[in-house]
Amino acid sequence: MRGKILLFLILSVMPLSSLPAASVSIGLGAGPVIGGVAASTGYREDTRYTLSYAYNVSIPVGIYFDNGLGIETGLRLTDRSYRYVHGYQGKDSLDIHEHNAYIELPLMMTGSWRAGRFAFSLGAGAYIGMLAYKRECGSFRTPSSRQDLEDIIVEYDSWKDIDSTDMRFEAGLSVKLSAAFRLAGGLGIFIEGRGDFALTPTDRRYQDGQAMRYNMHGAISAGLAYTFGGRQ
Amino acid sequence: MKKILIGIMCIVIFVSCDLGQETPPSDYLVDNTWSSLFDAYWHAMDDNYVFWSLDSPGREWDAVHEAYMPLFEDLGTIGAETAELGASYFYEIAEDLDDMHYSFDLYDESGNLILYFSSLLNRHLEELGYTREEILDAFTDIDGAYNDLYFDERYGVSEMGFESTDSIMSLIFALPIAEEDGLRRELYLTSETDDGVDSLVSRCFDRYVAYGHYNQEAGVWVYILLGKSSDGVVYFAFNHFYFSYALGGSSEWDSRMIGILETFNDWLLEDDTSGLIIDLRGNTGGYNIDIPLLWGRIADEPFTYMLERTKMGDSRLDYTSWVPIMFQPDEDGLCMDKTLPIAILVNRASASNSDVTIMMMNALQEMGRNVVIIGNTSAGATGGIWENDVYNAGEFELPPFLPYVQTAVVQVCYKDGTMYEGVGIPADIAIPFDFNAFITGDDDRLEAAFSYVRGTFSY
Repeated sequence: MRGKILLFLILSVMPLSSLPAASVSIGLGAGPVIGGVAASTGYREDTRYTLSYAYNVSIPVGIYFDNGLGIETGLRLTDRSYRYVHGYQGKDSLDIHEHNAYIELPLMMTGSWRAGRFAFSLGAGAYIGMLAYKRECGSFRTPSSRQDLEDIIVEYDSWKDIDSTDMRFEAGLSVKLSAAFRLAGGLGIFIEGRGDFALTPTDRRYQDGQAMRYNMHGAISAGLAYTFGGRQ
Repeated sequence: MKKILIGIMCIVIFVSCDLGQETPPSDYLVDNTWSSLFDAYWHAMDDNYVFWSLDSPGREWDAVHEAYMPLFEDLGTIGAETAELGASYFYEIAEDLDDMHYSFDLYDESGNLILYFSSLLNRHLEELGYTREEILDAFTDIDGAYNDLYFDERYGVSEMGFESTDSIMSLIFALPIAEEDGLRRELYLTSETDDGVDSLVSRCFDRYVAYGHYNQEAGVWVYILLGKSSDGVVYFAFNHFYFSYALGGSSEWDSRMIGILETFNDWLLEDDTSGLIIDLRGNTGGYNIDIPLLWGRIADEPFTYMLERTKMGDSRLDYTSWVPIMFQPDEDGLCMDKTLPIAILVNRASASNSDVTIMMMNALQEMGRNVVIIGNTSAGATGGIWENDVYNAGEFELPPFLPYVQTAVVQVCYKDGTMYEGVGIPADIAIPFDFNAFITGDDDRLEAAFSYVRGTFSY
């Protein structure tokens, strides 16, 4: 399935590279993701959501025109994690890193500037993603029944089943800033920073008044890209 | 630009609309009406109950609100004239919940107890053939019908109502745990100090310790019997997992409990030990920290025997992962002879840490150890009980009407994912409870356990 989607993307943009004013690039990048969720813990003062770290890998595909505008898409795997902490008597009784990883299809409009071998671009657009896996790691701290005995701490790292409470698909908005350096011929290196803001929650609505979480993440991706056609 | 800003604002408003419930459940209790109490109770359950995956996998709990709110609104104020009907509605709502730790006391505005509810007792009574009306009558008439249960020919003679550590000690081993007027008495007898007490226990065991003490802080009688027979069988019965409670205590009774714990662990390692019987009949659980203190020398390496999870938020199905709970071996690496047989005696009242112990022993059995569970299916009260603020779920209170609602803070299942909550863990060898034989000192289940560890059992 993944292979078919990739082939479809490449085939769909390749004809555009024959346009005299257009170039097409395809690359491979990876990097860290930092972020969390927009969520409320309501009246639970001993509970908080904080940032967590994960990764993303991508196969970016771009079509760039001589007027500086461009369209970027591709395929990426983004692990969107968040940290959930519950405190008890000054200690974290629950410290959980929740990882929801999505296979994503972005679509962005970009504006580029070139300076010699360097190119810089700004972009904005949207993405849709399909939940690929869930993983959870962290610790449970159970207080002992007596002050003089140690708490019981259980650490774990496990794959989590995708079930009927999970929203299988996600859609959101993205903004990005990138820089590229042409090495030789069509080959270049790039680095980009991206901010993603989900418009759909991570959970399905299964009850009235349900608290929802929305992914909000920043990602950095660096890698190699090859450009076909156009002005390199 | 203006359109973009408006669009962003719309998105922010859209997202922020359903970020969470900001109102604590107690804020719904605004007056002394049934509808106000029900609303607060419904929200407190919504946020804190951990077994919604069993009891409301869909919108069943929403439907409860829709169905009962008009009924409670019709009742008006919580008072003597509406108590019976209001209590019956609360009973209807709670009677099918799967959490076997679930219980609460419901009071009217004058402080009168109008309903006591226990899901475990409710199930016991259902299984014994009580009608719904009889159960509700017992739960609403605490001084009358409820107390009469213990003398009733169904509950009073059942294993849930009768077969427990104290009755085993007094009827099977003829230990003097009661005065002539029937009141319980404190007891501490050992084979060294019994001074020739003519008790069956001194004939069954070469060495023994018998303990009976009312624990003021916990508000319960604690009974323990530890014995070792001439052929090396260690027998250990106790009604609460309260050994860690005694650790750090300074009273003579605390020291005695710790002494029994240490003696048990020492006996496991003795060369002449030939088997182990752990009698959990009527044991209703206690402190989790007791588990490693008691069973640390049963095995010598960690293994997973159960999984647990709790809530990550206030939404009903918002759970953490299933977290593996491991057996913790003795810190000094000491372990009993792993070829020795182990028999666990359980009945339908063996709950909570007793359920946990059975899961641990079943895991040992799967690892090839000679372990057997004898008696009846356990209570199936597997969840843990701690204060609500330890995690994000569990017990809550809505004073003055519901001063304490007990409910589990974690879901627990066996290591293979099998959920026993509300069902119970079946015994390997099921032996029915025979009240008439029991009161004459004939304990079929205990005899089967001794036969099993001695290698003479046939069934």
